[in-house]
Amino acid sequence: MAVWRSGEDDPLSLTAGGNTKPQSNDSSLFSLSAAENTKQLIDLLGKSGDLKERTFSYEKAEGRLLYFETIVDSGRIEESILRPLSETDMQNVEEALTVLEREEIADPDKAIAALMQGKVLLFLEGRSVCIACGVETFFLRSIMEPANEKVIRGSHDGFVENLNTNIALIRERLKSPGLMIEYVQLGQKTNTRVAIIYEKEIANPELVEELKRRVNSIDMDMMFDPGFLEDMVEDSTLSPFPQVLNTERPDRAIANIMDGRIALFGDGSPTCIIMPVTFFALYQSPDDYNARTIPGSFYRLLRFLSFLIAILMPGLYIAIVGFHLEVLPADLILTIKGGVQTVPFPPIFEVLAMETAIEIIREAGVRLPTPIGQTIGIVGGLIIGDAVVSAGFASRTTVIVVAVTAISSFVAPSAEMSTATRLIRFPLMILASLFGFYGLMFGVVLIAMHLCKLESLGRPYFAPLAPFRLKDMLRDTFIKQPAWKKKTRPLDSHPIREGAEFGSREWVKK
Amino acid sequence: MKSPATISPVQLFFIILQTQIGIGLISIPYTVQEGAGKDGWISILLAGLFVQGGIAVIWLLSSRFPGLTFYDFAPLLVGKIIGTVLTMMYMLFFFVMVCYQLSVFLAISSNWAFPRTPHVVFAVLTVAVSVYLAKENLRIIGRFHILASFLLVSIIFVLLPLIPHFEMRYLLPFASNGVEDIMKGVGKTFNTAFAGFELLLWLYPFTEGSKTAKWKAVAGANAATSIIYAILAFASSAIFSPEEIKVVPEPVLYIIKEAELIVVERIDLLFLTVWAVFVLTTMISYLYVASTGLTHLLKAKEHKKSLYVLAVLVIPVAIATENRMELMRIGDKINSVSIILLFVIPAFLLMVALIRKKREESV
Repeated sequence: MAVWRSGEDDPLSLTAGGNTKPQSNDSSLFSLSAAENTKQLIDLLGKSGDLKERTFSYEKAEGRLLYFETIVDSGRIEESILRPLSETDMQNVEEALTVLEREEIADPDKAIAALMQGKVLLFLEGRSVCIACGVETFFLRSIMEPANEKVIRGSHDGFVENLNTNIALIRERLKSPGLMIEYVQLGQKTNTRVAIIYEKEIANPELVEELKRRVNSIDMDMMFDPGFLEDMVEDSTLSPFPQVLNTERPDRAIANIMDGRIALFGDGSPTCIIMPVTFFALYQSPDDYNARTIPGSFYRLLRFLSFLIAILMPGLYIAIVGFHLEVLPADLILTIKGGVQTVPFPPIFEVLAMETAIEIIREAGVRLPTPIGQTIGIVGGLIIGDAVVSAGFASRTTVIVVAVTAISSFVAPSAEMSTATRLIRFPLMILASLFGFYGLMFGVVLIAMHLCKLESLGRPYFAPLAPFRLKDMLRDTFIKQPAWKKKTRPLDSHPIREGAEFGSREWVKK
Repeated sequence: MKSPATISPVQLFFIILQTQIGIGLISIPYTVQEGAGKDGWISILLAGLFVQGGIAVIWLLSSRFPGLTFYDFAPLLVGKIIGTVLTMMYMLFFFVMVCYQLSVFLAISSNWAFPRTPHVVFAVLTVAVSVYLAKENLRIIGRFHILASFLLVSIIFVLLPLIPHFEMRYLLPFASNGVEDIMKGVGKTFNTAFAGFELLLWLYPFTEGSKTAKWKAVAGANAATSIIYAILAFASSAIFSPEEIKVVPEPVLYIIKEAELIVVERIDLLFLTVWAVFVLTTMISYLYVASTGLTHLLKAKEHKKSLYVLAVLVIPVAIATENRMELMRIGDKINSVSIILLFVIPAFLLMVALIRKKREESV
């Protein structure tokens, strides 16, 4: 796997201004002796088992190499540092180095930082600077389709754990000079590289500034990406709704970047965080854009319907059975009431217990290997469901409601959103059991108010429904229009370049 | 004075619409028939026209002070003391409106669907939910009010299946009850049905757009409200005979009870729930302006604290009486007061402004 790299992406040249690194007390400058210099650094670092020092003394060149053997590519050290040094006949030996990336460092702190990044420090006798050579080694997982974001049609690649590879995947598809990549180093101990990626001719500079401000304010020992990163930049962390879009798909990331949104990547994680997003963006799947207009719109609408079913159905069922049985027609009342009457528990306990059981089954199955996970699904779903009804602990209708709700909640194309819908229904169920339809109404109104208040990177989260924008709603929210109809970008990311399509369907005349 | 949270004319339209449509939605046909009998729907249309006049007065007044709310410019027109008195009067009026809306809401809810739930429980819940939104700025309130307006579509859905039940004989001949009765009907509508348009006095400086856009938004909202009410009154009078309607205080719920969709037998219970949202939006708007009034009087910066104080006070006042008859009497009194506050005082202030040639620039 070729690793794309350019000078612009040098993590050292763009470290965050606000990011303070621990200063060592003994940060005197380098001396002229290579041995003293390496000793100084080794003392600063302490004795780590994989910190290696190599002495060399060729005809022209004399000095020492310092590196962590675990994160450098030893073959490249031999090829592009040691061999040229041994063969050089030039006066200025460092000119002989054939390594692509190199930099002179005079400050021991910076030298240590470079060492941590997997650089080799080259000290030459008689010079008070070291040369950091980029010979990092990468352990790459192959590029695979992310398991939780599968599509039927469309590209099947996904991000991996290496930041450079991920950026390469984006650059490969988005060959625009406006694509900006800015690095920040986060985590005082972990020194995780974080990249902020945006298209500078589309993304709103105010939003970019705001995100940079938030990212640069992060000051912590460990950056556990992407969860910590998300917690640090999200507008409201206590809201049940995710205000960022997590994706492992390059095509989805690029589509969002091209809509004027900003992507945030951390080294060591295949998940890309996209901001600002709307509630509805979390219900768009890359599949929609590969589907034809009418089926695409149908499935989009189906997803919103399942959102409503997932949050409302158990509450509605409890409210009807507990308070307003009269809203049902006579035949249905007999069926439902007949089932409920023999059950010894009030409907709220019945439903709550079944919903909890489903959550437990899900949580148990998630991290198990597939064969065992399937067994759990069968034992949990089929056997328990059937046994509960035959034993008379729950009515058949309850099992139907719980099952349909559970399936509906998994429809959301974003895993976070699916979790959110599954959580919201619990308070709604309790409200419905206390106050019937009114309880449900109060709950839904509260959720609607919360959605109206919620912002993602300062942009309204529930757009284009609140604030109401009919044009955006009909373009890519509830229905999916054909690509040639998407003349402008959605307004929720406040793009500075609005036009996106310029009459592609006005075919050139024969 | 301009707050950064401005609203668009569309949001103004829906805020006014949602403030006007409150408890009146299900009882307006009954209220107007008390005066106008079967010609209630004509009364409503006339009242709507009359309110358009009131809106014009308020708009002319506010557009003389484009950057100031009523609380700010009243003292400039009539002096500090009377201005403060006016501010207090309006604040009190809004507060009373919140309480009145809430107590009627509680009374109807317990009559209709929740006879055993104590009033105080729903009072606390309703106020808590209202405060959750009213503590935000106008823009967010506007967003929510637009969202809630989607529920207005439900009115069409419940009325359509009723059309075959219409009995046109009850309505004919039109306007036969005479001008006097119809005008009596007009006079009864203001507090429960049309009050809400006066919010323009407070929302004007926060609305973007030209003078005419603002007028169009409010006039349009009032026109929409009048039409919705008139349709409901028309439908009620077409289903209930003039004798029957006298004994049904919530005719809209009763006529909807007639309708049934395939899987829902009692649509009225669902509609009651939808109507509760409209009551909430009315309460939110009034709580917001009342709390900004208190904030203005106390010269505080944020309206949140005064909102909490008012919200806590609303609950005991609202549950003080659960008697429908008494509530109706109180409603009549509020109605008389509201005519003064909605029409007379703005007209008087406009005259003062014209005579003293006061405008914002000249201050």
